[in-house]
Amino acid sequence: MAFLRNKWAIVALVTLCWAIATSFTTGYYYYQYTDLTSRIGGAPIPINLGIDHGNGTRQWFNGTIGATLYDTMIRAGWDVESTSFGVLGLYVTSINGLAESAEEFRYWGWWTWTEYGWSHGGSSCDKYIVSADETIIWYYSYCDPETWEMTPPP
Amino acid sequence: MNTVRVAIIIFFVALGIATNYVLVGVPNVKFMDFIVFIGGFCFGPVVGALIAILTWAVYGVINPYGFVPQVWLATMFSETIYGLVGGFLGRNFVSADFHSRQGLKLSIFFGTVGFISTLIYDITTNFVYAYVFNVPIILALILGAPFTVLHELSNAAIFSIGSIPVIVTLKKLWEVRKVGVSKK
Repeated sequence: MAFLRNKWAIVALVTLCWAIATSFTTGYYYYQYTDLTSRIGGAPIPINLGIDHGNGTRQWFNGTIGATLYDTMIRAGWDVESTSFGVLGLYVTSINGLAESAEEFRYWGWWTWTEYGWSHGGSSCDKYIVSADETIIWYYSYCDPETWEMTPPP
Repeated sequence: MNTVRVAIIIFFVALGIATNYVLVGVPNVKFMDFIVFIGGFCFGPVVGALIAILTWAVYGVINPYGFVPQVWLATMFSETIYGLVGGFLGRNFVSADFHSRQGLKLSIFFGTVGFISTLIYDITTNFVYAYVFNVPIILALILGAPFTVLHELSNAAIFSIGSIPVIVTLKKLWEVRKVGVSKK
């Protein structure tokens, strides 16, 4: 067959096979994932959830369960106001009536406890899947207007 | 159909059935598809299709995974794809030099032929399975994906590694040309 002389024809065929195999595999695992999460309705994972209002008052809700951080906040009975940014998730603007303040450079941010201290959360709270017995705190942080760096909880 | 062809068909069918039972514990990894393909490649599409149908006629009925007539008929006739594709390629590859530097390209090509033929076979049989058991076709395809992918990849490997040595050996030992289909 003449087309076999063209190495790119072979490369195209192999790529086609690879794409088909990976598409099938991806579809299978996506189905398994969505099926599992819909059946269990989110994993009931207990965490230590805290809130620090930035004025010295700190409350703990240890043993709160949920699948995502947002889920645990709601289950803890918090009044959360947020803005949705689509696939990026929720941006929390107010917790329990205490809203962010652009004038005072105070914003809500969540932090997780590590062996090195508090570490700033890397994603929106509704996208973050919590780990068992993880310690997470919401802190009403001062945000440096020059660097936009948030002050970690004390 | 002369006696030589009948003997060839019986030989390939017996080989297909035997290897199927040997590999019965390994779902979807079988030499049968390759045997049917080689039968078609060397002796023509009719012989290839007959090998497929007769192999399934036995293996499909006495099958440890159970017997469902509709699925059996679907697998039986879908299996002919390998024989027909083999027959078509056999006619177009009569002038191919299997010893040349094209060997690697040919091996990869046979691998992709095995992969794509198996994909057609699996999709066809999944359609019938979905129809018979009243399962949504997309769900049938997705849930069968691990078996489908394993089937395709194993056949790609078997076709890629086995085609050239087997074709060359058959040409040498059995003087395939004398049978009448594969003439240079």
